[in-house]
Amino acid sequence: MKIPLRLRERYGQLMPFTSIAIRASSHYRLRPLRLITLVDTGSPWTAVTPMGITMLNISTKTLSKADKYTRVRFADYTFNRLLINAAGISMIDENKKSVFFDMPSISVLDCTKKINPNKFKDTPAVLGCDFIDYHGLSLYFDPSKKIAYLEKQ
Amino acid sequence: MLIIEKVKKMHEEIEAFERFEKNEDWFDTHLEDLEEKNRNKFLAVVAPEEVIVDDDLKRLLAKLERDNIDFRSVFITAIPPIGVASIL
Repeated sequence: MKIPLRLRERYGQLMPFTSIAIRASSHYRLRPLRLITLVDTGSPWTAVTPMGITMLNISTKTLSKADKYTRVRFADYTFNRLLINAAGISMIDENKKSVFFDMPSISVLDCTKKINPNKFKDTPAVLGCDFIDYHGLSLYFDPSKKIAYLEKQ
Repeated sequence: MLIIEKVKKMHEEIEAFERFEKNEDWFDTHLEDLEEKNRNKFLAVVAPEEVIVDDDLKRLLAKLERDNIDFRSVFITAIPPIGVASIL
């Protein structure tokens, strides 16, 4: 099974993106938006960024704190790593079929400082190493041929 | 009955995804022009040629909500200011 990825040029480089729908218990009341998501092997976790928090209308008060690595530092900001537990990610495979991937949790990066959320003009979510590992996927990324996909043998 | 509902939901999801993909394709083919005109803004492609732009993401989402637009098929992105790489 293959999940085709879209190569998009960002800042002069081709990078692998996909779009995901996050599924979670109804008490999280997530807005049913698809998020443009960077496949990021530099991120240990699959995470929703501040832009994604606003897009999905996530109430960070309803989320639990991560047990380990509770804070993430990036640039000038520190983020609390919160969790959407027993979540899932829905993607579309090469045959245009919806595929559901369960996840024990998805991280939500909530900035510790109160700042205008419009400051974050970023990718709303990243698919991290936890997702690739948990589902036994492999990532194929060949920017010179403009091919990228996730594959499960 | 439950199975019929599930199949219907799956079809709806695929249809919404196909509309989303069309919107994303349209965004990609008009990227240069859209970036030039909408620096430092949030942008929602509701349909090809139909774009809603705002400085404020919450206000943009409220506009979509008010107009009863199906969220599942809307492509939303941000255009960073010139010379700035927003990587988170």
